[in-house]
Amino acid sequence: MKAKILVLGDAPLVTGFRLAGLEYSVQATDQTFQNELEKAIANPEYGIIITNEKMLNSIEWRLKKKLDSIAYPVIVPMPDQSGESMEGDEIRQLIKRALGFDLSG
Amino acid sequence: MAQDVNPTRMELIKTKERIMLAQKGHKLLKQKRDALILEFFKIMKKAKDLRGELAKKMAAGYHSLAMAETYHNIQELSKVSLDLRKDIDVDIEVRNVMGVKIPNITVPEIKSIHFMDIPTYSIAGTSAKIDDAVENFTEIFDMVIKLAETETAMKRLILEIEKTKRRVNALEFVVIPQLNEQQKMISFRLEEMERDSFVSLKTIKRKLEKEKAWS
Repeated sequence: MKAKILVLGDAPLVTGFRLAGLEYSVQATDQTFQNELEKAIANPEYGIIITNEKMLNSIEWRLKKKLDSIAYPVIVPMPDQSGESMEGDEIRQLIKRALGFDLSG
Repeated sequence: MAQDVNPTRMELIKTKERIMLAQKGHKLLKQKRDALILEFFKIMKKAKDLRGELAKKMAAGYHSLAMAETYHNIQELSKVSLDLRKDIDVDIEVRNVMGVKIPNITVPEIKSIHFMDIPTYSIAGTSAKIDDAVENFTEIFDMVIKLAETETAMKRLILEIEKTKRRVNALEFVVIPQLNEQQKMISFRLEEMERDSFVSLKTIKRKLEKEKAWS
């Protein structure tokens, strides 16, 4: 299935990825993010959605749960300008909980 | 649970059937768990430490972007990015591993349309700061594509592994022992009842014989 890539996030993220040549981007604020995300998911043209990690963590839990269960589109959270990223830790913790030991030691 | 069952032969047969079913399910779930873990490790090898690398690259990317923004302004940057637009389509297939849906992403040759091969914005009026930012984010983008596939797959798989593991354990340590207990109790009660009736039959027989002797 052919799909497009969408960048959805704050100004630096959007500008950066537009410089990388991505054509589709939506700039969002904390308030409009959830709405835009729902719109983007509903559009089957977008296969990968690159978003801001902090914004993604602030959305309603119901939507978050839905995101966890769908395989399409793929949502990639990116660290923001402060450079902090919880995403790797989250996966590491999941692994630890499910397999019973820390793999990435 | 085990206490409130009727000690009947029918119930015993039913319980035996349930034990068989539970054991079958347990075996299947165990196989599913092993298959999932196998798949997980396969992806794990591919993923390595993409996240950490990405965080580092992102920091560099944001830095170069900020530099570019200070040397030029936002309008200029967005003008440049308009010239850089590429039609990047990705191929996404959804693969099914033991009921877990995993995306499979293939990108038809991004490298050939890399900006270094075809500089599409003017050299005059832009500086090396912009080049830096463009280069950084192009690299980041390549990583993102790789990450998108492995990370979602890992997340999905690990959640499913956890779920399956819980089910396997529940069957192994709760359901099956309970059913075994129930089966034991029913057969015990049935034997007891058999002995009971045997004894009473004996008593009746003895009494009847006594009565016959009297008359």
